[in-house]
Amino acid sequence: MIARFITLDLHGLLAQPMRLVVGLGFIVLFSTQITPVFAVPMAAAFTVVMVSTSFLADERGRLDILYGTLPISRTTVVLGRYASSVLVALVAVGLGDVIALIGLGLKGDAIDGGTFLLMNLVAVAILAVSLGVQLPVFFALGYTRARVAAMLPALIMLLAFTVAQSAGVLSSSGMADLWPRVSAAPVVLSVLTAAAALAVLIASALAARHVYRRRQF
Amino acid sequence: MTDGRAGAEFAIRATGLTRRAGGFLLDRVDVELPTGYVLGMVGANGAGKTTTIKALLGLVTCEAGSVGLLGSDVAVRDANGSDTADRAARKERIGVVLDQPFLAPRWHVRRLGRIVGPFYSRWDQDRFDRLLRRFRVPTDGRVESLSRGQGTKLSLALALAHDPDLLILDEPTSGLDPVSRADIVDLVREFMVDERHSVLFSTHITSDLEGLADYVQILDEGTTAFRGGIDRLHEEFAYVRGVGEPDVRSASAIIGLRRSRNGFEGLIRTDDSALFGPETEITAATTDDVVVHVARSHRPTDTEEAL
Amino acid sequence: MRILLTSSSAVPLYEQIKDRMREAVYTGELAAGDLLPSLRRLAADLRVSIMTVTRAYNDLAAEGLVTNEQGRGFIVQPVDPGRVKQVLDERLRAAANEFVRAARASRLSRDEAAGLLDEEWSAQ
Repeated sequence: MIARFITLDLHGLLAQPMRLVVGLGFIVLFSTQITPVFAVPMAAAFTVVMVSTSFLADERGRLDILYGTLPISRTTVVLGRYASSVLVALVAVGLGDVIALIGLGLKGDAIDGGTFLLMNLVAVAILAVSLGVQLPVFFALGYTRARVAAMLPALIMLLAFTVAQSAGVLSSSGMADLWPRVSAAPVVLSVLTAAAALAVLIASALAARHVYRRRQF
Repeated sequence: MTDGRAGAEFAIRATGLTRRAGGFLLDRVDVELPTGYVLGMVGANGAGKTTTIKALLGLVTCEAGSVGLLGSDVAVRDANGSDTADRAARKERIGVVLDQPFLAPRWHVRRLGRIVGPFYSRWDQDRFDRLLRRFRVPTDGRVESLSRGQGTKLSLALALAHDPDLLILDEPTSGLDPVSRADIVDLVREFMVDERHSVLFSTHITSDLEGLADYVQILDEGTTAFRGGIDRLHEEFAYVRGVGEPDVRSASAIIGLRRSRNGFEGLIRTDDSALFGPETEITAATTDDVVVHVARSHRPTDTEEAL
Repeated sequence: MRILLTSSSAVPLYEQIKDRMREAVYTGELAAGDLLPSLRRLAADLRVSIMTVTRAYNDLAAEGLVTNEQGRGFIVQPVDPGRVKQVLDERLRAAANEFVRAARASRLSRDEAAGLLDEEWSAQ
């Protein structure tokens, strides 16, 4: 049943191709300004926009009532939405990787495996926080009321971005400095990041399930 | 292995539904629909019909009460709890139409079968297509391009395509032209030929009940004013008309007393007709009379004033 | 079997259904052992509530005109031939009464009326 819900969700997302195209263009544009590798975390940030799309569609079509009449539980709805959101986000990050590689190739830059891994870990972290914070809020309040609150991760990321920019982290040399510090244990770091992301998402899903089950339609 | 559809005595059995939240009041409302019959729920706008239906479906929760759908053997669930997997599964056999379609406006009508169908084990795409053809619902556009009547018919087609045993319709005919209304009523009649099928529909148009409803429930300001067979409604109530003022003893027996320059009229319980003398006229009460006057009885009596 | 109901008549719908079924039995349209039309199918066709037909059918069962057999439906019971004759005689007399009144209202003579009867007899 969760799988069917994911299909339903993806169907809705694909019905709004313009958002996807705009988002993609945004990633490409932004990443070329700094460094192509930046496409990866940018793609993750893109999820900030994508998450709200599903909930907007729910509100416009009173789909929560549809879900309430289908033979599925509210828990299934929550898990399904999380699954489709993570799926879309991972695809976006994968696309970001591709764009980054293409960009680096065009620029003639060497492809630094370390920096690449770092960018992907940052992307996963952004994903976890972005989805982890937004989804329960949307499930609790619905699109219109949650929209403002959901901007929080975007604002945090914007702030982090500004700080990182001024600290010089975002230049190629800056990132080359950072890598040695974390290259000591790339595998451990990757596993920890993944585990942390998973923990955040699980906690978030439990919260989302709690609030959605109490919603009145 | 049985298909689990046999021998359920009640399609709907709910007791004590009470909800105070959000300004929509339900006060100990009971709902009973024996399998194989039609229950018409009627009352003014805001009387609680939609809230009752939503409470039955679990779309809203109640502070108190219990609901059993499709079978006396169903674990009667807490109306203030949320979805259990068991109750969700029961929705396989329930078709719902509310006053507006709950579909994404941008969805293509033609793709709805592929979007909604997979959730139901008894989804019949052919039946869905046939119903759309019969109702003349255009399939080449999006949901948002449909008129109100077409939207309702589409919702009905979706509700019927998965072969439900119970249909729950909230004001299905409101805002529709007479031909569309007749189409929908005819479809409900056909649905009822199968003795395993049951229908609950709500309306504020009393004439919708005629020749269709076996049981009637009148809701007024969140409470049940009458509940029972439609024949019993006509046996239990009568209509009284008189000149001048009603005498003190009989006035209290009049439900929804209405005064005019000439005299008075109102609804009475047939049992009370002995209180009225030969100077009054007592006739049969129509369903409309009962609904209107029961509603009026909650308001202070008034004299008709010149406009 | 054709059934015609009038919603505006003073006779309740379920009584009209009963009358029609009784007529069918007494005229032989429905023979002993035949099934009454399916209860729910009839309700849909006549556009009345299921309770209306249920009530009519149950009343007829209480009268003894039919019996309700679980799983099969309502089965017409044999009618006493004497009773059939009585009912048909009553119908005939009522029809004759009506015919004479109509003829008189049209100011027909007895011979003209008889002629009309002959025409109708040959036509049917």
